[in-house]
Amino acid sequence: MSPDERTPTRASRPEGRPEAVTWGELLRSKPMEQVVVPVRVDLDRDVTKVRLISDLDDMQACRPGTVAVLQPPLASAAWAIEIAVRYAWERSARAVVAQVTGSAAEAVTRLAERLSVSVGFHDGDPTELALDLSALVARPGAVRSGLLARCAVLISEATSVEEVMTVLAQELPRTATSLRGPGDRLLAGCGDELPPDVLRVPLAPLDVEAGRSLTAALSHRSVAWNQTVTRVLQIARAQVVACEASGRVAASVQHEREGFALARVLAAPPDSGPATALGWPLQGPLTGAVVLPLEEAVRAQPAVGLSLRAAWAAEPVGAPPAPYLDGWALWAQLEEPGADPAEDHGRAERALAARAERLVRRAGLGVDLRIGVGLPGSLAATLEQAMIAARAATATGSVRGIERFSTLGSRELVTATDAPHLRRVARETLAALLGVDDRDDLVRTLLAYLDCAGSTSRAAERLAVHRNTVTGRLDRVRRLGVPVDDPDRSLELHLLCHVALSSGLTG
Amino acid sequence: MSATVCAPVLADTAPVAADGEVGPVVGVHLRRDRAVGVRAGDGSSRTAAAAGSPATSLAAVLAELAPERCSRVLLDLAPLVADVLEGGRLAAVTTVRIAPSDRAIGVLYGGWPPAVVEQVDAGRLHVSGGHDFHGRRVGDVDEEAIAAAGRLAVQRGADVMAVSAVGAMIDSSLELEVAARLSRATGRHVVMSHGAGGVRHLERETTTVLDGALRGEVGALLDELYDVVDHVAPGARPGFAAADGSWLGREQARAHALRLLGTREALLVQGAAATAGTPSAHVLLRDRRGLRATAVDDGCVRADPVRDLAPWLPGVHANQRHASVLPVGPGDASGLSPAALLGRPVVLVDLEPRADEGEVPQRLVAAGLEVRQVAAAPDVLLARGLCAAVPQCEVVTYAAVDGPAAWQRARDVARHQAQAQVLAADPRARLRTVADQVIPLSYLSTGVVQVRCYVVAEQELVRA
Amino acid sequence: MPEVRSITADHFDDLFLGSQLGVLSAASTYRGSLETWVHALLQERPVELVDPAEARERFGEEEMGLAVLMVGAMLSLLEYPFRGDEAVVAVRRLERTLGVRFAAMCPFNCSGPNALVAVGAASLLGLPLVDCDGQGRILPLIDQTTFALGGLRASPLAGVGPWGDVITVDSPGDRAEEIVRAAVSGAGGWMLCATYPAPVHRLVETGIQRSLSQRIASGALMQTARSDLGERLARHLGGRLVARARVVELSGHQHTGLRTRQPASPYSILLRGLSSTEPLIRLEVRNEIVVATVDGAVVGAVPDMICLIDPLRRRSVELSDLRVGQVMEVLVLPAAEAWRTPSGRAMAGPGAFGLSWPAQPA
Repeated sequence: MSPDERTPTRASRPEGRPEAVTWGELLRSKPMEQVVVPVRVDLDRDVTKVRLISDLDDMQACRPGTVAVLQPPLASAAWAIEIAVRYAWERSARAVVAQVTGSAAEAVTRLAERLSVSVGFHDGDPTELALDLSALVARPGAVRSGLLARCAVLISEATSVEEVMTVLAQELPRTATSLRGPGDRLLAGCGDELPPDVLRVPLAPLDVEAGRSLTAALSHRSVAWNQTVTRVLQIARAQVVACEASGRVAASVQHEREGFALARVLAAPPDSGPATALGWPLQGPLTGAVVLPLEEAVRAQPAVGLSLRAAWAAEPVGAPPAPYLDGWALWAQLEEPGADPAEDHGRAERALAARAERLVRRAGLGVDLRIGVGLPGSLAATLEQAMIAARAATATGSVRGIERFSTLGSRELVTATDAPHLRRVARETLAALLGVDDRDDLVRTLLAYLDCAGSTSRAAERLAVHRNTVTGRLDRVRRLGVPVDDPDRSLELHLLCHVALSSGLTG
Repeated sequence: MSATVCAPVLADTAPVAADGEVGPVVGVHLRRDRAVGVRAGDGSSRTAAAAGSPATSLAAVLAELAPERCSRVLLDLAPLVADVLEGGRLAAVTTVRIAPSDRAIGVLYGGWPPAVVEQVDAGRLHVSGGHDFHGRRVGDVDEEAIAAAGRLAVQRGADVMAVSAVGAMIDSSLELEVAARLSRATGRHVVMSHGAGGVRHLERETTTVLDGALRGEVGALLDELYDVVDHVAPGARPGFAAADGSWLGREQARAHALRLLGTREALLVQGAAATAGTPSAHVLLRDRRGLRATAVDDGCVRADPVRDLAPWLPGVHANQRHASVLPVGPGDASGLSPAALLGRPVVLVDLEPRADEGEVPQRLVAAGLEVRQVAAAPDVLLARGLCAAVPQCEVVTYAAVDGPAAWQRARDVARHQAQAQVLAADPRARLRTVADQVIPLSYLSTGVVQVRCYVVAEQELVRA
Repeated sequence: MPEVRSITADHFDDLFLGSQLGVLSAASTYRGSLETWVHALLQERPVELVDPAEARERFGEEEMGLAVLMVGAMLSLLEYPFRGDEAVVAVRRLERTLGVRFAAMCPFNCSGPNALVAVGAASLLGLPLVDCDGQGRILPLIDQTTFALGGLRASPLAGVGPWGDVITVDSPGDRAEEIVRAAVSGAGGWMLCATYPAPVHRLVETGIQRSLSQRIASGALMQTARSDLGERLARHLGGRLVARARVVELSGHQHTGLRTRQPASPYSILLRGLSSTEPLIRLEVRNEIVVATVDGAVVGAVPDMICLIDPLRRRSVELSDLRVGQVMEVLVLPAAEAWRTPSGRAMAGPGAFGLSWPAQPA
C-alpha cells in the first residue's frame, strides 16, 4: 500500500470545513513536548482523531489519520506496541504513542522504521496526553496560533540572519525557507530551486536593499497552512532586517575606528595607541598593499570598505583592510628572515599580493579593484609605495590587476604620479607630433630611440623594423620641430613620450 | 571463491598481559610418554616435541621453547588424568549424601566400571536433611549419623571424604558444617559438592566424588610439573587446561581435578580458531566419525554444563563445563544447514588426512560462508589451543530472596564468586562480565531465583 | 513409521527428543539422571502403549484411568531428584482415596519431563499407557486441559513432593490448581501428581489422541532428518516454518499483561530473519512461547505450538541455552482440534496468558 492510497487527498475535503491539523503541526504542540518521537513520517498529513487505546481491539477500529495513544498495560508491553504499530500501518493510522524505554523502545523503533509508521514514547499520563491532543485536533486554529506564538518568541531571540533561518527550518515542518536577493539569488537558508508556487514575503519596505524576499516552498498547500507560514515569514522579516542593520552599524563603526587608527600610526608612529588596542602587527619590517578601485567614482566609498572587511573576516590574517587615502590598506610582518634578504622581501611581497588578490576575489563586488604592493620597510613607506603601485595598476592602459612597486618601470612610475597634469603638458609640448596620422609609430620610434640612448640600430631591433625606417621616422619627428637631439630636453621628452603612449594620446 | 587454508604459522594470537605487555605463551600437551609444545605470542609459533616421562619430556620441550622469557606455560594434563582414572590410582572416598531420602533415582556408582568402584567406594552414608527451595534447612543435623560417617571412613581406610547436600547451591552452610566435623573427627580431607558446582544434585555428587578420588594423584602430578616449569622456565606462570578451554591455577586444579579431564575438543577448537586468526567462529571438526560443530565466542569455546564421562566412565554423568561439540552428520556435510552457520567465519579442521578435503569447503563456500581450513597435526593444534586459553568462570547458583530489590545482592554475590575464580587462575586478568542474570523460578512462590554469572579474563588477541 | 505397541528402551531416544518439541523453559535437553533412570526402567519393563481406538474395546465402561505429571519447576527436579517411588505412592494414594484400582494411565502431556514421567510411572506400576494426553503440548496449569474442557476434573488428586510430603486434594470447586500450586512451593519445588481419575473411555474421548506416538515419530524424524529439519517437521506435523532467523536479543521484562493465573515471568526473544527482507521477529515467552510476531503481525499464538529448532543441533533448545547470534528455525504447529473451539481458546488462547488482540484476517 503506498502512502498516497492511504489518506483521502485534500482535494476531496468538503468546502467550508476547518482544515485539519497536520501531524507535523501537532508534533510542535505543547503536549507533544514530553513525547520523544524517534520515527516521524507523514508530517504533512492530517490528524483526524486522537484515540486512547486500552485494548488491541480498539486499534482495529482506528480510522486513517488517527494518533493512537496506548494505555497501560498495552503501552508498556513491547509485543503489544509492535502489534499496534502493525495495525497502524495497515489502517493508515498517523502514529502510535507508547510508554516504553530502553531496549523495548529500540525494538519498537526498529519496527516503526521498517513500516514507516511514526512512534513516540513518553512517561506521562496517557489519558491526559490523549485529551490534550484531542483538544488541539478539534481546534486546529489553536495549534496554529501556538505555532505562531512559539515562532515569534524564537525569532525574537535570534541575533543573526542565520539564526532566524534556523528557527524557520526547525519550526516549519517539511517547508524549505530561504532569503533571496534580486533574481532569486540565494542569500541564506535552503538552497533548493524555488517552485513556481513558492510563498514570498518581500523584505521591502523595511529593507535598505531592493528586491529581497523571504521565501517558503511548501510540501503541501492549504489555505490555513499558507496563512500560517506567511505570518511566520512576516514575523521573521522584521528580525532579518534588524539583524542585518545592527550588523552593518557595528561593522561600519569598527571600520571607521580602524581608519582613524591607521591615520594615527602614519601621522605619529610612536603614538600607536588605538592600533595597539586593535592588536595590529606594527613591529619590524612591514610589507603593505593597497586596494584601489579602478573607477574614481567609487574610491573611498564606505560600502566597498565594508565589503572588503566582510571578505577579510573569512581569512582574518594580519590587520583588516583599513581606509587609507582613497583606497584600503593591508600589511603583514616579515616572516622568519632567511639567508638572503632579497629573497625574503620577494617572498613577503608575493605572499601579501596573493592574499590581497584572494580578498578582492572573495569580496566579489562587481567593481574593478586594483592592487598595489610596496617594498618591506616602515608602514608609512611601504603603504606609500603600495599606493603608487596601485595607481600604476589603475592607470589607463594597464591590463594587470596588480602591480608591485619593486617591478614598476619608469613608465609606470611616471604614470603613477599626477597623471592628469602630465597628460596636459604632454598634449601641449608634443602637439605637432600628436597632430599627424602616424603619430603612434612616430612616438613609439622616438621612445625606443631615447630608451636605447640614441642608437638607431638597437631601436630598430627593438621595434622589429629596418634601421632606415627608424632614421626616416626620426627625420620626420625632427621636421615636426621636436628637439630630438637637444641634450637639455631629452629627459623631458623621454617622460612625455611615456605619458603620451600610456595615456592614449597617440590612439 | 575458495576456502582459505591456514597453517599455524600464518596467524599468531596471544593474550596480552594486564600491564599491556604481549607475553609469549608456551602450551604443552602432555602424554604418558611424550610432550608436544607450541610457543606463541612473539610471532615465532615454534613447535617442539620430546619423548619420555611427563616431567622429562616437559623439561625437554620447555628447554627448547622457553629459553628466553615467556609469561606463562600452560599444560594440558588430560591424558595423564585419564591415566589416573583408568589406571587404578584413585583414592578411596567415603561419601555422605545429605538428602531427604536414602533412595534416589540415581545411585552413586550405578553403572560405573567395577574396578573403579572397588578403588573409590569406601562406604556411603545417607544423612537426612538439606536446604529446601525456601532456603530453609530441613530438620536438624543428625550428629550420630555424622559420627557414624567418620567411623566408616576410618574403618574403610578412606583417603578422602565427600559431602553432597541437596540445596547446597542455595546455602552451602550445611556442607561446610558437616565437613568441618568430619575433618576434625577423621583428619581426612573433605570435598564438598557446592565447590564442584552445578545445578543437578546427583551429577554434582558424582563430580565431588571424582574430584576427591583424583585429588591425591593429580595433585602430586601438578606439584611435580609445577616444579619443572619453575626450574626450566623461571618467572613463567604455570596454568592447567580445563575441559571448557579455560585454564586453572595449581590449587584450583588440585581441588577440581575432574575439570582437567577431556580437554581435547575444547583445545582443538580454540587452537583452530587461533590458527585461523579469528576470535569468534563456527568450528567444524572432521574425522572418520563425521562432522562435529561448535562455536568460539571471543576466544571462549561454547560450553555445556553436564558431561557423559564416556569413554572413561561410560554412562556416568558429571557436572563438568566442557566444549559443546555436536555431531552434525557425516563428513560430507550433508546433514549441515549452512544457514545456521551464517554471520561468522567457519573454520574447518581435518583431524585425519582425507582424499576429498575440497568437497565440504566448496559446499559451504557455495552457500556464501567464509570458510577457513586449518591444516595442522592435532597435537600441535591442541598445544596451540592451550596458548589461546582464557581464564573464565560460570557460576550458576540459587538464592531465596524477598523480591526484585534483593536480586541485585544475589547477583553481586555470584559475580564476586566468579571473579574470584578467574583471578585465582590469573591475578593480572582484566575481568569482563559476559552474562549476569537473575531468573526467577516463576512456578514457585518461594522467591527462589537462579543466578547466572559468567566472567572471563579480557583477552586482546594480537596478530603477530 | 510402524505403529508403536510397546515403548521399549529402543524408543527412548526418539521419545526424549520428540518430547522436547515446543518446550523452552521446562526443557531438559541434556541427558542426566532422570533420563538414565527412565531408560533403565524401560530396559527392565517396557510399557504397553494402547491406541485410543483399541482402548474402547480393551477397557470396560467402569474401568478407571488417570494421568500423571510433575507439577513445579524443572530446575527443582534437578536439585531434588525423584526417589523413584513417587508415582507408585501417588497412584496408590489416589486409589485408596477413591477405593478403585486403576486399569490404565496416560500422560498429562507429552512435553518435556512429563512424557518421561508418564512412561516411567507406567513401567513402575506395570500399567498400560493409553496413547492420549490432556494438552497435546505443554501448558502451565493443571486445569488447562482438554480433559477439563470435556468436563473432567483434576481432583481428587494425590501428590508427592521431594521431602516425602504427600497431599491429597479433593476440591469440589475446581480449585485444585490453586491448592496444588501452593503445595508445590511448600513441598520444595515440585510434586509428582496422580490426577484426573476418570473412566479410561472418558480420558480417551476428551484427551488429545495419539499424542505420545506422534512425539515418538517426531523424535525419530529429528534423529534421521539430516537437513531442513524445520521444514520437514512442519510438514510432518501440519504446521509451517515461519522464519529462519538469528537471535538478536533476549530480555526479561516486568509483567505487562492483564492479571492472570499464569505463574510466569514475561520474557522476550527477538530475532532477525535471514530472508532478504530481514523481518523482525518477536517471540513472547510466558514459560513457553505464547505469541510469535513477524514485523508486528501475529503469525502464531497459543494454543498453537511455537517451537524453536536449532538447525545445527537438529533439536529444540532450552531457554538457558539460547544465545544471541544463534540461528533458529521458528515453527508454528497447529493445536489439536479441541483447542480450536471458542471454549478451547478461552482456556488456552492468548487471553489466558493475559494477552489479546483482534483475530487476524485469514
